[in-house]
Amino acid sequence: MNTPTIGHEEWAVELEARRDWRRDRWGWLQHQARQAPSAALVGLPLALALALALLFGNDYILRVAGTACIYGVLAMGLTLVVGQAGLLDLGYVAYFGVGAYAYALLASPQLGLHTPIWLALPAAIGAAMAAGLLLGVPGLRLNDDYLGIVTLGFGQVIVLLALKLDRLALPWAGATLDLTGGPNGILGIDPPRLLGWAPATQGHWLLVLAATLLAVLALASRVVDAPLGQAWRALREDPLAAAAMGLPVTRLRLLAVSSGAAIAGLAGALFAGWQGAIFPVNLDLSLLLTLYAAILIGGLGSLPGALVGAALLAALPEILRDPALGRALVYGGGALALILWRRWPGAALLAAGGCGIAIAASLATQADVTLAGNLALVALPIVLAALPLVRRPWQRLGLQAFTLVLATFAWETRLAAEPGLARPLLLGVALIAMLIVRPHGLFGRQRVTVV
Amino acid sequence: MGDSLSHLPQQLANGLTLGAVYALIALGYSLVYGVLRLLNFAHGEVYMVGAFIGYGVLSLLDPALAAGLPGWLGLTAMLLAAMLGCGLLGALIERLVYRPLRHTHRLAPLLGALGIAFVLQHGVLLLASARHRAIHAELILPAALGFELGSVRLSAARLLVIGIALLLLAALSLLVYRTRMGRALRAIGADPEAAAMLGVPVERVVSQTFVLGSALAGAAGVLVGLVFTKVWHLMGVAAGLKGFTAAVLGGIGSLPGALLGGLLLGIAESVSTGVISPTYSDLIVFGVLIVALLVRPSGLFGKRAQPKV
Amino acid sequence: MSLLMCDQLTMAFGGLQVLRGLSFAVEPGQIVALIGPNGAGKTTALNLISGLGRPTSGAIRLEGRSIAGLAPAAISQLGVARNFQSLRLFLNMSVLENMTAVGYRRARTNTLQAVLWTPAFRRDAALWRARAEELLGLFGSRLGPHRYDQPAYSLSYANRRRLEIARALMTRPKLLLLDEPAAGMNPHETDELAALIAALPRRFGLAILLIEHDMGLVERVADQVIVLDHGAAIAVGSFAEVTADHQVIAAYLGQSARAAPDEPPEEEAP
Repeated sequence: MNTPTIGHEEWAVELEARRDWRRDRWGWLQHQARQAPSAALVGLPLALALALALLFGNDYILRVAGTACIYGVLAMGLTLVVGQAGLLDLGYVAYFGVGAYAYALLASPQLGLHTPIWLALPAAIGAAMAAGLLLGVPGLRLNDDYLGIVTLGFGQVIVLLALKLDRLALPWAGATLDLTGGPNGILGIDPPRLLGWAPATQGHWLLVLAATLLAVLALASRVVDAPLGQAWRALREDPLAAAAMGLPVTRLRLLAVSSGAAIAGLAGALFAGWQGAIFPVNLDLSLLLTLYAAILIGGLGSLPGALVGAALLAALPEILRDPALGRALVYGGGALALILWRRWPGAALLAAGGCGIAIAASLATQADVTLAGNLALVALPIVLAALPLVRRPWQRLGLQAFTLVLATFAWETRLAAEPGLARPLLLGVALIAMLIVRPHGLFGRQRVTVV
Repeated sequence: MGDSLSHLPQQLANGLTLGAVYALIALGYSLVYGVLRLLNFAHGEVYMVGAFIGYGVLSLLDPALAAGLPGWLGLTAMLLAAMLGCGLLGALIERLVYRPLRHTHRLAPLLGALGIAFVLQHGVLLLASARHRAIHAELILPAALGFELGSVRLSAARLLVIGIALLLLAALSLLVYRTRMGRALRAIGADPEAAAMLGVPVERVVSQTFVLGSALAGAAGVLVGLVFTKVWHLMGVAAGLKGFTAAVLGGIGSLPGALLGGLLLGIAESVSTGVISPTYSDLIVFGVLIVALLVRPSGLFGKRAQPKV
Repeated sequence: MSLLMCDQLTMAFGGLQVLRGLSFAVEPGQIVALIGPNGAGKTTALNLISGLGRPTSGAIRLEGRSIAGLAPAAISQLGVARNFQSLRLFLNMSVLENMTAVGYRRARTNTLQAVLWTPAFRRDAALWRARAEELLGLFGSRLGPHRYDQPAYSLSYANRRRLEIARALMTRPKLLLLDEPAAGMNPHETDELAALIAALPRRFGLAILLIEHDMGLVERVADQVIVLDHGAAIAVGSFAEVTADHQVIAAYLGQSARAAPDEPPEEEAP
């Protein structure tokens, strides 16, 4: 871990320079992609998509768009904490949960409270911030890894509390209180009603969510440009130098964690109001992974990037639901990845072999191939690990081809058959691949790390 | 309260079993951290996979055991399969994820671990295609077996867990402190570049470390399956956190520390389950983690490192 | 009253005594150089003054106020700034941002005003930018406008040292601690830096405590030289005085060295 990477940064600079030398179309494309997407560049297509969804979308499309908005708000909050302030917060979803449950308790039949929105929403945000501070204060003294583990544990604790606080013993009253509904969650949550208007249709909801998204984007991008944002980045780059320059490290960290928590709490409250219900399953690891994948795709620290990532991650799993579309996505995406990675033979193989296997698989769906598929799934990582060990070109090509066949086989027999499991599996793989291949995101700039 | 206090000796005994398992998991953390300064947070999931491998072997052997195959052979097969499988898994994780991530972003390894955890959880679900699986431990060890000491009862399964855990710990410390590989391992932990320059095959030793730690986790998975007779795909999350807590408690990177931390944590959890409430035992463990990190981040046995300016 | 007073500073890391009773003072407007062989405790002394460590015993006073053991940020707010021998720039931020990032909580406007984009904030931001440009201008075209938006990691080694000095000046220090500012610079660049350092006290009304191995630079800028050996001051005085001191020569060249009073001690290999 602590290998000094002398010359590392020179390498990065050279890389930038070399890319700039490429005058062909590919170089131009890379150059364009490398520029972090400006708010306008990202905002216009997103706004267009939203407008199209509002005008022509059915309820399903509107729902997906709404999910994208919630993801977007959450991802922006997370990218402030992780990308700007450089704090590895793996308990972020807990703040979302605290906001959602706080709002649910204040505005549902669970406790018989129906607090008006102008009270319930700030209370939910406040509760999330309080949770952030609760964790932030002890976490301040910990560095990267330890902070990550402690926050991850905290996230688990919040899920546990949501699961177990359905029989809270009240010794003084001699009764038990059902606070969170346990695994059954809280149902019948009031929609936010302001000035007598409450969103009634999915279209209304999308408007509310998109407006929230815009407001958070505006606020967050101002903060990022403000001295506070600069100080956060300084903290991310070098906490010790930041402290020596007089930046109040503790306060900055607390501010970052609580800002992120406030945004997550807001998203949680809106989510609870939108769904009308909240369950502990809503707070599981997959949301955390989705958000991290989103901010990594967009480039750590970039707000527009977080929005792009959120939109992608809201839309892609939906495509996987449909086997035909999913197939196109997997093979198309795989081929594209191989092309981007300059593995032309692999890409060609995937295109040809994938189509062949897809046809074969659709012809022979009757046979029970579960066991063979499982074996292929287990063998896949082993073959992948063996790939770099093979040096001879033709052996290598053979093994690559075998890998692709194995992957397509595993996909067709097992993953396509169980999309509910395939989606999280692919999400995890995508996150790891993203970290390895483009840690700076699709649009982000190469960063240097001093180890 | 008085009633629960009378169960204290029994809870201590149960805690010892839990603690042995936590110690095995904690060792994996400590080994990898000691060599790479990396918190392999996917470790809990490796333990979960180990439990599932044990379950799979037991189901395969089910007819043979019923036909009279001795129980200890079945147990050996389970342990061997789990340790081999998890060792391989550990090597794969290191090769496919951690090695490429070693010199990238400083937050990358932990995020990668999160991705691994997620992939393993859902991969196991996909392969085993059921959420909870019961382990028929009585095929290996009759439930009645065991001995009693006053009011304390230790079942054979629990005794076996403690015994095997101690055996593995002893073997590991022999390996680390008495063999060539152990010396290479400690050398890399002290200074990877210097070790590499002096001809220690760093990559190979790192792989071996992952294999070792993961094999121990696999064994822990099998043992837990025998005691609690249930495996499920999310069992690694809490166990991973607890193993990590045990490692931190004892001083991460220290092998005797991992043992002591595991035992302490196991007993603390078991006693708090009895005295306070089973509902909140996980919360208590987490509280222990935070307090341990704040009060003595270097643990009971760890050395405090000076930050370099 | 002295600007900085160090009184009987001792520092031990485990069993290793790095400082043993170091005492010295820096007067306002003065440039004091701390020299000595490697491992004499120079950087440790600097770290203690800037708050990156608490002395085992002894006092550090800034304008009479004890600062030993205060947090680095608090000491910085009291008017002590430093650079780092190992270079600690905010590498992935632009040159200009490295300068203005120091402005949080030193600026007169707060984040709310920044978010609302009030006129007061805009005035303040323009002021900070102007100050950053002025300080970068100290180095002429080396950190000229064409570099403002470059990421700090793209700067050369020498330019990084310059940027660290400029960044330290952004905090309006009364006392500037410079840890080997000329390391990695060629003779010409070192000359240039010496002229700049010599001009700083008058221009910004500050005092400088300097660690440097380049004796030419020390000779040119230092009003007073303190020689450290094994964690204690073995000689204090002007450059000419300390270089004539037998103890100093012994410390640099070893006990058996012949006395060579007119020859300044050779520069240590960095």
